[in-house]
Amino acid sequence: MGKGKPFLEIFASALHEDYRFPILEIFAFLYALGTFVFASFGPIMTQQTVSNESMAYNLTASLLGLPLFIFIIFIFKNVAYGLGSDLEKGIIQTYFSYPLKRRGILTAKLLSAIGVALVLFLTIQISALYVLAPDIISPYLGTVLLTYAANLSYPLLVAGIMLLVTLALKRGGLTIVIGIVLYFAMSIISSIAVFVASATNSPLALQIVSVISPNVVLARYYSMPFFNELWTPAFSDVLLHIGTSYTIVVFLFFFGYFYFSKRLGL
Amino acid sequence: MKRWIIILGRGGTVLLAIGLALLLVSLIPPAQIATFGRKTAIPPKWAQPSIERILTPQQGLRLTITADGILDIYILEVTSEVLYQWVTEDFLNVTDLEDFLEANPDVIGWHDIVRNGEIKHEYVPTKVTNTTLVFSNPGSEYVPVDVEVSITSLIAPGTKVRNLAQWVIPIGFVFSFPWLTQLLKEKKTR
Repeated sequence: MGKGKPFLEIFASALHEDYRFPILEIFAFLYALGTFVFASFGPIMTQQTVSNESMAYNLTASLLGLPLFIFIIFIFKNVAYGLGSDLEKGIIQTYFSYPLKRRGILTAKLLSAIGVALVLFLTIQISALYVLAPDIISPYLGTVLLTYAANLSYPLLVAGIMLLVTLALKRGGLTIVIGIVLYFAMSIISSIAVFVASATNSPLALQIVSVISPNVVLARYYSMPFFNELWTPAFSDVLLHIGTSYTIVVFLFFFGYFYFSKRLGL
Repeated sequence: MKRWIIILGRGGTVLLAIGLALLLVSLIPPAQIATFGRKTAIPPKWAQPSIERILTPQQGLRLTITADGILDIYILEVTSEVLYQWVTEDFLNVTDLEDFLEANPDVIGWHDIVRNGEIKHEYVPTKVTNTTLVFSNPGSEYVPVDVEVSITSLIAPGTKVRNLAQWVIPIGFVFSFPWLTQLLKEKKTR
């Protein structure tokens, strides 16, 4: 048996577990519906006040409320329950008998848990955005993708933490609670950071939060200058914060891989 | 069950779900947020900007125009200020408008001709844009015109989304059919 076949076997099995009929269909329905229902072009006073690039950002950001939360619940469920229950039931231990390295097994599981959900989420949302406003989305696809990158960084970071907790506890029930608490904690931390930044008259608190959740810096970059007296980030700052946050995400997943390969104790 | 039937089938059911969501979105009727009417007469060889508004892909214009004569009607994606920059006399004439449109053909959002009757149209832009309704009278007599405009608020461009749903749903059904039939057969044998 080649290396490809056991990988596909595990991947197919993970897909079957993570996306039981009709879970995938319900999520696809909600993503498509949510994109149109939540899309907003913001308050339009005169066209000159808002650039088309900012409009592309505002439009994309307007969608990232409930649909993003649905996506997060989806991947948290997949990481916590998908991997957690496989560890609990001993299915992972069975996979270890396959002629495949441990990192291959984890890749197959994560590709199903996060990769497929991410592709589905982005494909449906960007296609729906294109149907809604092609003349805004086509020329500013880079801005749209950057907005998604900034907003998905923190959920992926939490998913990385959840992966580590699931591997450490070898079950998923508690992990999903930790994930949801961490996700909501960020909105509280962001509010506190704004307050601290105003009180100290220093953008340091906002910059620290932006390293973990770079949508803060992106929102500041695209908001109107008079809202940004405290901190007006340049585009290079936006890229730096997004890059740093993804470095942390990659490190967490790398640590997860290391733990799964060497320290799992199975 | 063969794996390719499962993959195709699940792809099909996802398409069906997306199609149904699109159909649902297209069935939500647009809300009228404002309606206003205007009666005017367009002098011969005049082009007259009428109603001006900033629209988004979620805001459209529903027009009902009645004219006693031949009249060109345009929706242009510019402000009337831009049009008046092309004025060569004291007023915007048909030639000025034609010159402007020849130089900027991409600003024409919609164009039609009304000939002694009524015309109805619903216009939704594909970006956030200024829009100006312009009447152009190429004839040699005054043309009385009655305009009724409603500004509508919509979730998505209905016709476009409905057309998309009409494609996506059958494709999804065709893809998922073999999987669904096999699934039913398996359930019966159990």
